[in-house]
Parts: sequence; C-alpha cells; structure tokens
Amino acid sequence: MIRPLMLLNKCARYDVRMWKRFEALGLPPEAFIDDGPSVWDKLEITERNKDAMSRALSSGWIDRELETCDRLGARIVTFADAMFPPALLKIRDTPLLLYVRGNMPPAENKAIAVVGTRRCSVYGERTARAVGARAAERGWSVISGGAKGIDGAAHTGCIESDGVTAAVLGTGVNVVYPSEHAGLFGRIIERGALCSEFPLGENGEAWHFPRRNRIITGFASKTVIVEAPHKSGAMITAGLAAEEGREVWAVPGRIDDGRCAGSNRLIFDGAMPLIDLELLFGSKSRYAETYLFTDEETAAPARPERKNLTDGEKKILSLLAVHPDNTIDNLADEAKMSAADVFQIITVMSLRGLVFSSGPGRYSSYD
Amino acid sequence: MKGICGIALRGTRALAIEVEVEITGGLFSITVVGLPDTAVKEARERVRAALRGLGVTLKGRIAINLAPADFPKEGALLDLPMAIGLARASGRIEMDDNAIFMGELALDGRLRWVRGAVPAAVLAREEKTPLFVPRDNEKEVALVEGVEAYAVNSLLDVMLHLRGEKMIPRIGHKPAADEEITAETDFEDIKGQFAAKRALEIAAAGHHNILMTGSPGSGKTLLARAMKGILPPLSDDEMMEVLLVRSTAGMPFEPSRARPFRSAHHTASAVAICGGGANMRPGEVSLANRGVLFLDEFPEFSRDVLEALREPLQDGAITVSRAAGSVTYPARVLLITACNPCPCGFSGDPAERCRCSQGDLDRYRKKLSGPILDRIDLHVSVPRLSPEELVSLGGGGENSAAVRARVQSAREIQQKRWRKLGFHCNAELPERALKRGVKLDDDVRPFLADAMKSARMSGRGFSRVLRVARTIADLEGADKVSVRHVAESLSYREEAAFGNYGWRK
Amino acid sequence: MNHLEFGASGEDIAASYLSRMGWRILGRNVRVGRGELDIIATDGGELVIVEVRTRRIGAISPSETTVGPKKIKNLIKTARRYVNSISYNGNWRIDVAAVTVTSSGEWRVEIFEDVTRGMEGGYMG
Repeated sequence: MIRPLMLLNKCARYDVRMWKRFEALGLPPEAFIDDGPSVWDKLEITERNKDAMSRALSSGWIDRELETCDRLGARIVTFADAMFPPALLKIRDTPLLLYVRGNMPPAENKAIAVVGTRRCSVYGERTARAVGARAAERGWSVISGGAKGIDGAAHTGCIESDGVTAAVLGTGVNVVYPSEHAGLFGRIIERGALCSEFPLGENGEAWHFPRRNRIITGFASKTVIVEAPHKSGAMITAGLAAEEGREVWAVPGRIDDGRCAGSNRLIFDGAMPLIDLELLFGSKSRYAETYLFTDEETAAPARPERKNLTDGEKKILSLLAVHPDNTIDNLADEAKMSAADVFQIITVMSLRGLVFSSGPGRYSSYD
Repeated sequence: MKGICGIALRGTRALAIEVEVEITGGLFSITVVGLPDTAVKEARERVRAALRGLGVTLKGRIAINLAPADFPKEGALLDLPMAIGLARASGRIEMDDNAIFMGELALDGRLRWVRGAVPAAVLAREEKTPLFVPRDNEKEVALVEGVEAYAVNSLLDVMLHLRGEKMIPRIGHKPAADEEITAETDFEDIKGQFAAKRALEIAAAGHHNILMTGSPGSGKTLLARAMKGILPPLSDDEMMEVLLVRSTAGMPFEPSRARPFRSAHHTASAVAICGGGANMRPGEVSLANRGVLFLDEFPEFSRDVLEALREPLQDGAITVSRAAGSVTYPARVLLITACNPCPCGFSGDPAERCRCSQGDLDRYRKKLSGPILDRIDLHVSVPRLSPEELVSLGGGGENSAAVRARVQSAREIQQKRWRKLGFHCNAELPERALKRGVKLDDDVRPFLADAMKSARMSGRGFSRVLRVARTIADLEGADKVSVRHVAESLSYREEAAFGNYGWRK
Repeated sequence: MNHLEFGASGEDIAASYLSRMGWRILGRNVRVGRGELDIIATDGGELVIVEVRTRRIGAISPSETTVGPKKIKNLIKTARRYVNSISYNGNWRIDVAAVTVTSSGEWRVEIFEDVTRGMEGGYMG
C-alpha cells in the first residue's frame, strides 16, 4: 500500500483522514491506483489534485522515487508501519508517511521537542544544548527542525551526549538546508534520523514549515520553546503542541529582549517555565506538583565541581552571582584585582565549566 | 662623487647627483639633461632669477647635466646645486672641493625647506663631504651625528661662504632630548577599560598585533591613541630610521622620541597605505615604522590593502615597485586593529539591540578572517558599558609612565634573550623557536593539553598562546612561563574575545 | 609718409640713440637671405641684434608688442644665420628698440634687452 500513499502524499497533501475514507469504501489498497479517477471521484478529490496524480502516474514518478530512495539509503515509513512514531498517530492530521534517512528513534523512547529562533542569543543556544544533552542522559529522544540556532544546538547537545535525535525537515530528506548543517545532518543520520513528509528534492517552501511543525510536536510528549519572538515559527509550534494536548515548556528570557518576547508570553499564557532541567524530565508532569513539592535535593541541578577554589575564584564567582553578564573591567574594579588576574581566573574557571562568556567581553557564572 | 652635487632620493637613501655645467657662446638658453622631471626643468627660471638678484646675469648657451644620467631626478631640491654650478661656470665663485647642496630657491634667492635632508646628511657623512641645507632643515640635520653641514638662508650666504667672505658656522650635533614622553591621552585619564589596557600593555611589550572588538563609542580609538604613551622611547638608531622616512616623505620635523602613531581610514588606497605612486613616496605603514599603525573598521578595508600589508608585517619592510624601479622602505609596525562585533555594532550591547541577521553576522566574520588575521596575536573585547556599570567603576588606574616602565623592561629582557637567535621580540618567534626557546613550568604542559582539548584550539592558536604567555611572563620578569601566564594568555584568543567558548556538556 | 618711410625714420632715431649710449653700430638694414636685420651693434663685448619698432602716439598698442612670437622666431632664425655667417663665437642677444614719435616731432626710445630670455629657459630651438 506504499505506492498509493506516496501518490496521495505527493500530489494532494492529504493526511491519514483521507486514507481512512478510502478504506471505508472497502476496496483493496491497489484499487486506489488501478481504478484511478473513478475511485478518486468518490473521495471528492479536487480536479487539480486528480490531474496531478494522473500526471505522476503516467510519468512513472513512483518508481523513480523508490529508486532514488534506494540509492540514497532512505526509507519510506507509512503510518501503518510498526516503526511509525506512536505519538504521531494520535494527532488529528497524522502524515500518511515519512521519508527517513537513518534510524527512527525507538518507539519506546520518550521524545522531547526543542524549538526556537534561528537567531538566538548565546544564552539561548547554551540552554538548548543543555536540554539536548540532559535529554540524552535521561534516555529521551530529541526532536527538532534541523535549523540554525536553537534547533541546531539541541541536536548537537544530544549528539554530544550520545543521545538519539531526529530532525524533521521542511524539505526533502536529501536537501541540506541550511548548507552549514551538512556536517550536523551527517551526524544526525548516524545517531538518529532525518525525516520529512515531503518528497525527495523538495525545497523549503514557506508553507512547508508550519506543516512540518505539527510533526515535530506530534512526535514528542513535551515541547520546549527556548527563545521565540512574537509571530515566529516556534510560536506556531507551541500552539500546535498545546492544541494536541502536549506539554509546553518555555525558557524564561529577559523581558527587554525581543528574541524572548514570544516565549515569555507563553509562560504568561500558561506554559511551564523551564527553571530547572530536572523538572523537565521529572516523573511528575504537572508543573505545580513538581515545583511545590520537590525538595532542594532533587530540584538542584548537577553542578560542576566547586572544590578547591582559590580566594580569587571565589570572589569572582560571588560577584558574577550578583551581577551576571559582567565585564572584566567591572569585575577587576569590584574585586580590587588587576585585569590580568581577572582574565586568568576567568579562563581557568571557564575551562572548568564554572563560568562562560555570555557575550562579547561579558561573562556569567553557571548558576 | 665629484664636484658640485645635489641629491636624488631612492627610498630613504640619498644618491649623489653631480651637477655639471657647460656654458658656450651664443644666444642665451638653458638646457637640463639627465632625466629631469618638470619641477627640475622649472628650476631654470628660479635659478636664473635668483642669480640675477645677486647681479649674476647668465649669458650664452648653457647646458646642465645631471649625472648619473639614467636615474630620474625630481623636485625642487636640485635648485641650489644648479645655481652654484652656474655661478662657478660663469666665474663668480671658485670652488674645487666636493660639496653637496640642497634647497629650493625662491625668486629672490631665499632657500626653502626641502624633503630628504636627513638622507642627504647620512650621505654627506658617509662621503665625508660638506653639506649645505636650507635653514629650515637645520634641526633635522642637527640630529645626524658627525656630518659637516651648514644651514644657509639664501643663495647669497652660500656664495659669500664659498668665496671666503663670510663664513657660516657649522651645524652642531644636537641629539634629541630624553624628555618625558607625553601622549595626548594618558592611561589614567581613561576610566575603566582595564581589560583593554592590559591587552595593549602586552601588545606593546611583546610587539604583538592586536584586534579590539567593541561597539561604536566603547573607546577603541581613544585606547589606540593612548598606546603611544606606553611604548618605550625610540633609540637613536630607531629615531634615525623614523627621521629618514619622514624626511623622505616630506613630513614636518618632530624632535621627539615618541613613537609614530598613524591611523589609516578604510577608504585609503593601497598606495596611500603601502607606498608608491608616481614618485614612490612611502605609505602609512612606513610612516608608522617603529611605531603604531591603527586600522579602525578593520573588516571594511579592501582585500588588496590587507593583502599588501602581509609583506611588511612579515618582513618589517615593504618594497614598492614601479616602472622607474623599486625601492624598499622600512615598515616595522605594531598593528592595532579595531572592529565592531557585528555590522550594526551592537551585538552583545547591554543597551542597544543588534539588528543584524545571522547572514549579516556570518558575512562579517568571514570578512574579518582575512589575510592579516593570522598575524594578530591578541584579541580583546571592549564592551560598551551601561551607565550603571560606568558609574560603578573607580578611576583610571595606573598612569602611562608606570606601564611604559614595565613594557620597556620586558622589551629589554626579550632583546637579551633572543639576540643569539636574531629576534627582537616574542611576536617574531617562529614555531620551531617557540618549542625550544620558551621555558615552561612543569605543570604548564598538562594544563595546556587540557585547555587545547576543551577550547578546541589549533596548532597555530597554540603557538600564539605561547608567544603571548611568554610576554606576560616577561612583564613580570619571570624566567619560566607558568600556568597563570598561560591562563591569562588564553583569554586573548579570538574565540574567547568573541564569546564562543565555555560550552558545558 | 608711407609705411616703409615711417619705419626708416624710426630706425634712424634708434641708431643715433644707441650710438649716443656708447654702442658701436656695425651695420644697418643687413639683408640675410630673405630676412633683414634692422641694426647690428656691439654693447660692450656682446653682439646685439636690434629690431626696431616705431609707432606714432595715438596708435592703439605700444610698439614692442608688435613683435609677435612668429616674428621672434623668424628674427632668431635670421640672426642665427647672420651670426654663423660671420663665424662669431661669443655671446649674443636680441634687443628690441621701441621708438615713439609724437605728432609734434618729439621722440622717445626704449630698449628691451635680450627679448628671447623671457621665453622659458631662453630660446630652445
């Protein structure tokens, strides 16, 4: 039944509901192609889509597409396959099939979607990476869109911690977009899968992405919006996730930063603020319960080693705790140290993972 | 050289030009041969008028030959030797000894300042020949030791001196005073900026080229200008080099041991920066020789200019080639470059929001990674401070003189250490010399290995870190490089200044 | 008085003026090839070719400006031929004598010395 599904997917952009109507006619799957337009009429498929299907059939597109898939090592997984992500079956408009390169995350894994703006802040990128890494450590799959910024950071964080990740693309799975992500895509194929409902070779049309977003959230039981401006793709994704009744988490951002305006708004509207990575993967999924009733012990994030600090290091850390995003100048002034000493302390502590550069010439600690 | 000579300039060297004059009977005419340019041809009028003012009327057919004939002569500095040659040929003076004359004649016989007096003085000293220069050139010539030179106001002075009627006193050697160097801006006048000041101190000590990144208004230009005040004074030899270039370029004279500071705008042409043009004048990079060349808006400079700067940064000299030949100018500069963190300038700024797209940023970073970047050892971020941050800062810290003292002693240490290997400063060290020449404390190697891994450093980046660490240790007077020197050095890497490291897994 | 006669009387005035200045007049209206030199004289040791220009008061321009560049060029050519023809080796020059005659018969002579000198660097041809 793969062939009729491919045809329907390519030419009419229908979802599973159309196929269900066909099955309701009680015909075998082959009839969809063999009987051709007579069946299509009964399904009330539009003239344009019928024309497109006829053309595709007469030009032998299906065979060519299957051949290309073979050559590429890509597979087509239909909604009826065992490999098809179960969570995705539960949404209203389940895709008919997915083109897959690599291996789909195991169906028994829980999956988390991480989305956000392509032009993110250093902080946003770091957070997305941390979410990806933590998910991997907890055995969750990380689902994202393979784009620059937040998406890329989430995939990378997951891969670096040997997790399983899937990138749901708005293009064909043989198109590398953005081109800088060629290397990342290669690693994703090794560690998980690139998948897309769009036929091979399709470029990223603007309308693909909202459509693609329903798959990202559909895949996952939780969706994290790291940084999203108002009216962005990530906000649409958040809306879709909420509609499907999936948990939506948002990373709190600065209120004067446009890149966080949307994600902050989500919190105001009821999304769960991601104030601690542990909460995200906690066994209890209700925010209030988790937040109110966990004790310090379990809520505390895993901190890097803070042993054997010199007095200078302690001093700088304490200053950074009060004023994050601080400059060398102000640190030197407040700590009554030379710039040389502050530079040296900052470097040593960033190598130890205690502080990080949160902007050009600015530093913050990891607390 | 023989007889009456003038000079022509080839780079910062003066060549003796013999001025031969022949007068034969006939209708009055003056012909100048020997590749004169227009200015030299026009000298005929100035010379004739000046001589007539002294009652010397030229008669007959006059031929002036400038030898060697195959070398192009330019400018007005041959006026005086031509006038003297004519005066002798028409029997107004007797002169058998060799002498070098230079000066541009006014119509009334006064002499005007000319470029090239210092190279001429060096030539006169080598040739042990007296030199006559315009009064306005006296001060620069006085800096050249051991030259027999005379400063003259007018053609008449020279004639009277040569006739033995009124002798001119010889110019006495007057070395530049060891006065206190003052830059327009002292370090202590700049509030805060401790990070940038520290980086500049290291740059000055080890002669490392530096890139300052910061939003508009963060004070990069001010800092670059203040650099002048923390550089050690010019030595006599260095001063001579600077004088030679300035004199060749026709720049006004400054009897100061302060190092040159030149800043070039990104719209400047390759010729303006590297030298050349019709008369092969030195460019900014040579005028900044032994001092600082400041390139603001660094990514905006054309690829050509940056490509052309490679040679001087590598060799400390630049060769300018034209149809007329090629000359080499000294060009040992400390390069200070500055750029914005992004095209709009406000990436990472606490107050303004950055309006650049990711594509803008990528393109900008690409431009930045041009041919010069691997010659830059130090990167420092000059963040624009928010008003609250500014207010909370204390004073300006140390004054320039204190920093300069450290820089100077660090430079002396380096010169002593590298003399055998033929280097002057840490920035010049090639990789092979680094491995053997830089002594490390025992715990430095494991620390470096660790750092290299977590900061994903390249071999080249590693060498840069070592060079800078060596300089930091020299500033302290430490014999061995220890972990704290390396740790500080690591924060001047490009990645650190741009804020890209510190990923936590 | 026709044009040539008027010119001739100016040359007389110039010649007598120059002799009174102590110059020795060597010849007048000397024909050289197709050209003619008005006065040839010596001023001290120097040979002088004198071109005489005459005008009456009321004429529009002063007489010396009537020696245009083309005339000068011809003059030099003719003078050089003459100097060569007498195998003279010393310095020589070309002067212009400007003679002004008023209607009442009074006259004035001005000598413009070495007129080719004003040309850049002397006459280069």
